[in-house]
Amino acid sequence: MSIPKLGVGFGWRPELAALAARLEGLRFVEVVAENMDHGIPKAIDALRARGVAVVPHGVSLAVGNAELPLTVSVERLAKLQARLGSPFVSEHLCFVRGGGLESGHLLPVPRTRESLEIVVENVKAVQSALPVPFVIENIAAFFEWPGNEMDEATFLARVVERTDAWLLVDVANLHANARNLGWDPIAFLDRLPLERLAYVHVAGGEERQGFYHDTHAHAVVPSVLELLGELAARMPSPNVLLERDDNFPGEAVIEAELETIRSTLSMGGLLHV
Amino acid sequence: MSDGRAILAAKQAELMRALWAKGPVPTGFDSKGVLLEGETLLSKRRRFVMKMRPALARALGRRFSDHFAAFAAANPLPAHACADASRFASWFEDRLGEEDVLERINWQVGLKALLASSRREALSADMKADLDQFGALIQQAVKRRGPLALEEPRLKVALIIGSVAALGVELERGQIEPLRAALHEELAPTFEEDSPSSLLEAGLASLRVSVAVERVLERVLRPEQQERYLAEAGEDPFLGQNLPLLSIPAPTVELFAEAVAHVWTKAFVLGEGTLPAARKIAADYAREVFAPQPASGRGAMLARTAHALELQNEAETRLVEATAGEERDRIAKTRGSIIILRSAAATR
Repeated sequence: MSIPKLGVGFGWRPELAALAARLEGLRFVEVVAENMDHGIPKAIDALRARGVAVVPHGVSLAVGNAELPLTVSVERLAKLQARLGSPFVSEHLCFVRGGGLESGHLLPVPRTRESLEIVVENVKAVQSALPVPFVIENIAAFFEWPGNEMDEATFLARVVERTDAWLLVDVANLHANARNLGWDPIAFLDRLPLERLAYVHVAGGEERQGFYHDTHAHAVVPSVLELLGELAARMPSPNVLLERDDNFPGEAVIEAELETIRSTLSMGGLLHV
Repeated sequence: MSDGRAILAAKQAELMRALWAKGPVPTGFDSKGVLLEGETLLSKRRRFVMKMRPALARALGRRFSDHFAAFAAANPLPAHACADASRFASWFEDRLGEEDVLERINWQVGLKALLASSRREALSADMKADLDQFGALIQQAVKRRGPLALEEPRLKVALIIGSVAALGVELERGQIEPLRAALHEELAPTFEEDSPSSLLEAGLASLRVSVAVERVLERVLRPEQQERYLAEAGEDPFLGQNLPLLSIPAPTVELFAEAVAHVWTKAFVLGEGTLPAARKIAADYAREVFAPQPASGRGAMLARTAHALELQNEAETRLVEATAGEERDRIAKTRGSIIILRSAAATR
């Protein structure tokens, strides 16, 4: 299994459908898998007909849940992949439910050898139903579990090593954790097996009361672009996907951000040795 | 489930309760971070519901967050997030009966749409949704409290504040309470009135309210807000209420009197014998209407209009007294069904 070169795309949302339809160079978009439960929008099929790759991005399967993913959820994801002919499928290293409650939001997992076993089993359960690469993403959080035995990069590296999963590196989440939890983002990038990088997420956010909030509703901040440059210096021309979920600006603003991402990638690539 | 999974499940459940159900933050966790995560969860959930129910979000305005927090504390997030929005909507409807939240509803948006629809402006989809929401809330109030719900002074005051805001006067938070108190005080006599028995009386009652409201506004609003209110409220003394107004563009007392006598003749089907008396009453009425009045300002215009209505009321009473039998009954029954005004064109 391998990952095709797809360039720079963005998360498809109804508000951005017209932009997606208009951008000729667009090679890939992402759809929130759960949002496709009630049917695939015609605009998505139109993109596919043009050869644009459509990647399902799950938010509720969460390979860090204590329970094995439900067969029905895994099958739904696999069916969506087949329906969209997606080159790969992505999810998060997080948990989203517990004690009968849903979080509606991505929460961090404890990073111990014990929980690594559970995550590895969960990832394998998803992979067994998918004929394409399964990609897992780092998340942003305001807290960590006590008693962590390794950092997130090492944990992700071990999951990848044990399962042959691929990586989705969200540089905005990385910046958020660097800012809010005091992580060293460069060390994080250095510890990841970037040869398994499927793609990169870039998103906007804002500083509020001493914390960086990964809102997906504001402009991409310079520190996030710096991390993207650092990543491109280590792994040239990665696939990059811009996420914007709310407070949509004009199409020109999104286009400008896509352009900034492209130039950041070429700048970063120049540093590559 | 393996031991490892069971232990993890218990720990995750404990954390989830801390995040959602205000449970204790589990030992070893940074409580500030967990609290912040909890707030993020809640605001994400709230934004999603606001997106699914934009009209309710607009109707509640700043109150949405408070209501939603109360809802979320008692109702866990369902597995399918879409169900959250409909559950919140019905939870909110149920709450309407429990406390007087109607008074706190942001009436501005509904009234703005109502005003636009009464002016026969084309309504956007958003405004239509607001109007529906507004209608639903009013219906809810009537359902819960009976047909007199809207006669309740607190509601009336809320509606007036809403209309002022709907006219584009941006009220500051600190102004609303004094405005509310002053309106209650000034309007107290109008709350005591019997319900009007004719449109003329209804028009008069509405004008008396308007005059009282404007006295309050003059006191409470800052000059630029006052200016904005006057510009938007304009020359219509009834602010878009659909009353059967007859504006007579009569340039002289005689022509106005003649027009009034004509209107009465048609409306009351006056007999030949009554015409001289009717003409005489109309002439007296017209003279008083044309008597000099305080000239400028919206307050003066309202007072002038109220005065004209009172004059019409008196004149029609005289007409009843000047007649007898079936004709008298007919006039008594239909009087006040048309509100006669001197049109602005004639005043100038």
